[in-house]
Amino acid sequence: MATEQLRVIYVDDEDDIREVALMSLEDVGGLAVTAFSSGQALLDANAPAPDVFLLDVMMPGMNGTELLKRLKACPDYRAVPAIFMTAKAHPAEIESLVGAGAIGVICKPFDPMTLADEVRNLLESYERR
Amino acid sequence: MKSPEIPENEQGRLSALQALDILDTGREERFDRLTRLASHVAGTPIALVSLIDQYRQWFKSRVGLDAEETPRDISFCGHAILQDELFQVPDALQDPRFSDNPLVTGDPSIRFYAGVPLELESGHTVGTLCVIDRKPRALDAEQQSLLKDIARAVVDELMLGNVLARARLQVKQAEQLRATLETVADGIITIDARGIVQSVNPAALKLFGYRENELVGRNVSVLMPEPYRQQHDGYLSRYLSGGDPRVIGVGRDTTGQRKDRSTFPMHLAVSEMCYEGERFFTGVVHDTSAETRLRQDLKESLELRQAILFSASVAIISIMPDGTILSFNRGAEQLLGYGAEDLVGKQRFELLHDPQEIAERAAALSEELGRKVEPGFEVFIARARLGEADRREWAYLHRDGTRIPVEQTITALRSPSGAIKGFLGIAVDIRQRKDAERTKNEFVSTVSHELRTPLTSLRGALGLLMSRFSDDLPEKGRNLLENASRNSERLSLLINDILDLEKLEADRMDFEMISGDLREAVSQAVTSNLGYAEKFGVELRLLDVPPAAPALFDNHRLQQVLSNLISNAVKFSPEGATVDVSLTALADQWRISIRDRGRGIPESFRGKIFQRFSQADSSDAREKGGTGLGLSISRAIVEKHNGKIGFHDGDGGGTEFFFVLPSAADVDQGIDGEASAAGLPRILVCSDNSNVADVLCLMLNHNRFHGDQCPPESVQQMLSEKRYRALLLDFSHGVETGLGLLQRLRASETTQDLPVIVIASQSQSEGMEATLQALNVYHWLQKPVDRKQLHQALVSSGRRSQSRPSLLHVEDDLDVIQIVKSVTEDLADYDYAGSIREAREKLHAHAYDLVLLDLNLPDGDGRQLLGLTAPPTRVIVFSGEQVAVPAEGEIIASLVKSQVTNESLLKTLASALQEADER
Repeated sequence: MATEQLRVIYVDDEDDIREVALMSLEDVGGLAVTAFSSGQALLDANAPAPDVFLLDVMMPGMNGTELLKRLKACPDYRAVPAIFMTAKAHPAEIESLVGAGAIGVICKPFDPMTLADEVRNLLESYERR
Repeated sequence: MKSPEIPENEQGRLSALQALDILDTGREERFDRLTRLASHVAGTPIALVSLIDQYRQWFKSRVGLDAEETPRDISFCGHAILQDELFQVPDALQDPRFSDNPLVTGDPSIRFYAGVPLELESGHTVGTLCVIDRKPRALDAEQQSLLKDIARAVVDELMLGNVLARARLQVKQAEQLRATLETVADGIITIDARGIVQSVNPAALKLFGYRENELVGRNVSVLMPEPYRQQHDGYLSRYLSGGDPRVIGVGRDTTGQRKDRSTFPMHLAVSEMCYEGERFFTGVVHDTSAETRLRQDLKESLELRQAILFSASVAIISIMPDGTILSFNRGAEQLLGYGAEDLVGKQRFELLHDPQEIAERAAALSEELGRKVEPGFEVFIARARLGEADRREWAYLHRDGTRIPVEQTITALRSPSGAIKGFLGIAVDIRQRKDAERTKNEFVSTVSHELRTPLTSLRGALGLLMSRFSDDLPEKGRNLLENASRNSERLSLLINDILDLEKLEADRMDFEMISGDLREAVSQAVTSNLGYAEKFGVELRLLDVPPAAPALFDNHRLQQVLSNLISNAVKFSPEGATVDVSLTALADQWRISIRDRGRGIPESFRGKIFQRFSQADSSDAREKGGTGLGLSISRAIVEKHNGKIGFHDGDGGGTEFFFVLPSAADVDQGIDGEASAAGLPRILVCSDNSNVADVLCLMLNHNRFHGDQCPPESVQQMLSEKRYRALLLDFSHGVETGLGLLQRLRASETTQDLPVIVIASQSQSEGMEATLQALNVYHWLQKPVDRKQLHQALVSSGRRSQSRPSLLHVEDDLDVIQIVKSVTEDLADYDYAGSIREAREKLHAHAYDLVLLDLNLPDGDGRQLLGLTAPPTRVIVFSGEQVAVPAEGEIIASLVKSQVTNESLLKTLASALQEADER
């Protein structure tokens, strides 16, 4: 019995990483992904609320934490959990990202074979809380 | 007329009169009522109270007379005061003393006068009470007696007035005193002999925080904290019993206590007074909090200054404006090994420094400030004089001669008026910091080197996969492969840049400074970036090249700089724009400029453009494919060439980056013509389009060939004069001319086998294949000519020997072996050895044309293999780091793993094998 497909909105400015992550999430992980190359593009798109946001942190213009703040201010997106992706793996940095309102942090470089599972696991442990 | 005589005691009399303080005062009823009474009693129209001053008689009160005063010498009263009793003149006209007196003969026509002297208690007669009539008469006894009584009443009034005046004065003085007490800033407290407070002024109340009624009547000791409180009664009693003036009569510093029990420092001065037989003490209290605080601050700041001066880790040297050392702290003593006594007042500051550094700084400063700065003390203070703190790194010379790196800050010491009184030099020993930096850099270097080997395999493997199998992959797979390849390139660029930068900073980058012609370097850079520019749709032009540009430079490093600047210019140019590269001569420098028509450099970014990992927009790194280290490296390289790099806005938009290098006038011989071609295979370039010929020659140059240009009609002559490896024949002069020339060449014995590469337009080359092959021409290229294709054609056209060259690869990393084997399989027979021992055996057993040598081998340094064969086999070092390539010897090139692409490895090997083949 197939469970309903998890819908993800993914924002990363870096084309190459976006390509790999998209393939990993969709082809390997079976998620339904809408990807944007910037926070502004997402905000402008007026996309329907997903099950989870997956946000890169270091982006030019609006960075990930600013974007999350903006999302939390949108009535449609307020309740959607968000996960950060970052290459800065220092524990203090991760802590501050969680403090910024994310339900979890996935470190780069990620494993393309398990990226979707990581997203699912973070979401499940968030929903159990 | 007789003037009145002056009494004997005139001085005392006048003083007594003055003391009454009544002369020239206003009318007073208390006197007027007495003169009215006198006039009535005597029955005369005029009655006066007349006071005899030194030269006049002045009337304090008068009835029947308008005058306020008359001269003393015509006065009747002047006579009257000489009498003890009443003085009477019954008829002045009949009296010789007065008959001709103007007061008698004229107004007020006195005929009768009677005056009673006004004698004070002191015995001085100050005037009279007198009555006057205009007709002769006489007073009876009763009238005389009454007049005397009235005169005594006048005297009483005079005396009373005096007492009142004094009382008023005293009241006034008392008021003034009170006001003083109330407004004075110091507290004033009066106590009696038992210490009970009698009075206290507002300042004291404020100072101690009491109300007046809370303090008066209490013992003064409440104003003192313990232990002073108990002592106080003791002082008082000891003083009263006749001795210890500890408090009384002298001031002292002590502590006061406020009502809220807080305390404050105060100065207390106590004086003693006696009033109505009782002893009182007055204490004047001054709050010294502010002074105490100031003293404390001063003390602390002096202590701090002392502590700083004696701090052992910082050298502090004060210097007089002429450079003489004024003070030399303990830190300086420890750092430099001198005692203050060795230097203070004797030596000059610049002697602690390296003369060469001073000379260099003088030159730099002269440029910065736009005026000549002589090497000497001025070098240190020129900036401090301008009000700046001049902080920079220097070397101090220790007494024993060692150099100590310090960070030194020089500031000017100024008087309040702003005049410079001297300078202060503060130096921090940065040996530890330098060591830490070195350790860090070495770590970075080691890590980066270790990254290189796996990266070489990664990059090589991806490159091979891309070139051979990408067509077999589905599109998604191909995209992933390209993605991986692109990013492995990026990673290796980054690692290479980091290593370069680290080397430059640690001054460990080797520079092979060789006399050369900058024109070649610049055109080489332009040529090698033509393809890159094309990819961006940007036209790259080389302008303004002087006839010769001799200089001393490391071409490899200079190419790095030029490529960086050119590729930046290309990247940031809009499509269709041009990038101009030019080389111009300055006085004794060459200026190389790269001018783009891009978006320009944002104001905010200008200051840090040469800093590491700086990019105007952080997304540029990805979008434009840079590492953010390029300009930083370029600057370091240019500076190592004693040059300077900079940029400014171009006229009409865009940016011009430029650098200047010192020219070398002495090295220009032999650069041009024959000598520059020495060692490079000669190629004859035949085209009647000089632009095409120029570009072809540049390409040849880049491919390590030398091109000579000539028109079609001179080809045969050129070929007869010099030996050429090949002919590049451009059909720009038409197919007919070209084919005709080819036929003539093939007809001649000397040129029948000359390799020829034809360059033709697409239309020309169609259907030509058979014709050309018949003329022994197997290589033709279409315009625009691709540099790589040209190279391939040259290499293969020149291969005369039919046997494949052989290559020995000495390497212990199997992944790298696999990659190199794949890369070189079309070029040579590949063999490898995993250790020095194995390589020795193979070198003995076979003759190889070329050895590709890793230096870090499991059983030692690869260099042990040099000199093993005779004649020596040529060696290309392919290792984790660059090694110097000596002019003589087997090593002909040094390639760094992960720095070279598959292509450039192939190219280097190909040309090395080619040269080996030619020998």
